[in-house]
Amino acid sequence: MTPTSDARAAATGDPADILGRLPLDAQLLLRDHIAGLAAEAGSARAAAARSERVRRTETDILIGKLTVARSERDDALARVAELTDQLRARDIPVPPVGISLRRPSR
Amino acid sequence: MTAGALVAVLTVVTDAATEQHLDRTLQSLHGQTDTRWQWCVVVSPSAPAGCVERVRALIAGEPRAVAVYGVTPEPGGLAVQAMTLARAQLVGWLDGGDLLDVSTIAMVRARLAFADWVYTDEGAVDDEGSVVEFWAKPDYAPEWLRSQPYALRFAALPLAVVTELGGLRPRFGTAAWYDLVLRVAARLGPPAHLAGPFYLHGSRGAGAPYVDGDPGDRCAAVAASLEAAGEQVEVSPVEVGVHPMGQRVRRRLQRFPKISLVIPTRASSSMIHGFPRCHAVAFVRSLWTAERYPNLELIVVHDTVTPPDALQEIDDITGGEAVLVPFHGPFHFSRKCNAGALAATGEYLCFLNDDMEVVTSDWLHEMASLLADPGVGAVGARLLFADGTLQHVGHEYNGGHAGHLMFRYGADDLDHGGAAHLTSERSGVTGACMLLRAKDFLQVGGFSEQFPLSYNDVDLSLKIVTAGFRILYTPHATLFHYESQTREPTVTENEMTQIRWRWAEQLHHDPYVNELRQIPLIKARDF
Repeated sequence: MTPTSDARAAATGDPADILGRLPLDAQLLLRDHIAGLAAEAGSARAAAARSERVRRTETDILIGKLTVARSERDDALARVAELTDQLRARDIPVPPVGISLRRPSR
Repeated sequence: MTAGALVAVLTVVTDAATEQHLDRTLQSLHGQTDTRWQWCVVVSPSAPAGCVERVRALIAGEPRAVAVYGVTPEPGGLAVQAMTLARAQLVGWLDGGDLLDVSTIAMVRARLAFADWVYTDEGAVDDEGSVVEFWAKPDYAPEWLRSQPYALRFAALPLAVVTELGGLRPRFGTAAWYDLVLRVAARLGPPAHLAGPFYLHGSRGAGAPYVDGDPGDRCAAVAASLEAAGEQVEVSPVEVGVHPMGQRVRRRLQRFPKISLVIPTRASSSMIHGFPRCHAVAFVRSLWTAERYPNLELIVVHDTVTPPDALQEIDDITGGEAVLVPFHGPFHFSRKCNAGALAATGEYLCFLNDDMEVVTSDWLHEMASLLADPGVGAVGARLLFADGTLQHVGHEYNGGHAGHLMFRYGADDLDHGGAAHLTSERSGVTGACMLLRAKDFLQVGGFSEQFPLSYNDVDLSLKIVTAGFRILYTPHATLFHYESQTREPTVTENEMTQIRWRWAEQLHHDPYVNELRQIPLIKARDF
């Protein structure tokens, strides 16, 4: 015995089939509800994507600043080493470190 | 030294006027932050004597520029000749004296990551370099491009594709570049849109604010592009007074699908033009004429308080063909329209407010011919207030708001690229006159009952767009709309919240209404 389309839809649980078997006025309400939910989800996704773009941009800026700071730090350390070497080459005692490279405690 | 050029700019010099300002064009190219350009100049044999020598003197020492004699005085032939000189990834067109912003080539390069071709907004400068006109264009819209050559200058097209398509076709004369852009668009699809005055030309004078050239050439180019796609059309120029705006494409209806007109009403009356008017009755009288669309059904959804005399009159006018659907409960536009749609048997549904009056007798033929395109999901008309000002030429969704584009403007207003006069894409159209397929209406859930009074058409439009369709507006279907004569316009707090909740993203950027059109004119950069 061939199952009816209603029986097939019920068996597969295909939402489109189930929706298609409802009275038209109920279909309109449900389809609008579904479209509304999809739109809200789309808006939420877009907002999340925008927020992610902002976060990524801010992260990129921070990484850029960190890279610059590290480069400046390395340059400064190289300069310290260079000046230290020059002093030692002239047998001049190297003064003790007066400024800590570590972050000052608050 | 043009190897590796990104953009070859083509220029044809036909007269002393274009020659006179060539130095400005060269200066603007020299100013480019991305220096990978080539300039190909062809001087017409009809140009004044000694012109080519003067042009060559101008470009002396500039290895990226080349100037040659034209072999024909025909504009199309000269353009083809200029194209043969191009050795670059992209080609673009500049008239003598036209300018590019210093960043245009660089911006074009950046946008190639998103599309295969690029076009810009444009402006006009006076002799002192001040921008005196600015044309903030829409994003890519195929029907708009057929109605108006808006994505032409400055447009950068891939040379390989141009060559593959057979290059410029001289038979389109002054519209040869337009014809090429239409073919490239058909091949490559949407371009990237550079919003802002990246291309500047001298003022074209009062007669031609947006388009120039021979209207016959433009119409022929558009007809050819549609015939290539298998459509038989008639194309005619659109002019407003002395101002050429673009073209009108008339598609012949191959069949006449049944259309159900759905009119919610309570048969109210008010004074119009100094006379009392029962809106629904008067509107049906203007609809039900001998010239009406041949396959029509009329659904009148009436409140229970509707005067029986008015319903009887409607029945008499239509010879008993009107389907009367009683509606119980307080005013709810969406519910009334949905009730009418459910009673309708037409393949198409046309929702109409009752306080309207037909102006163009073939309004429904025009709208139906546009809906025959399977990519189009809804069509809206031009609606006028009783005083002749614009009530509706499409919606605008920008800045988190939904509103009517060019609301209360004069009917002949030329703002926004003359959009009010051109069949063109919109993000939404009013539910006061909206044609769409019944199956699509059902598929997206009809008018949402979340919006009893306002924004129901905005929501329906955005559902149609989200389903993958385009929405068109046509000025060639015009009706009077005596809006709000029958009820006070009301927006509830809930409707406002709900529309922004559903469509937050879509209400912030309207692809067809460039937000830059609102900015004041700016000074051109010092080239």
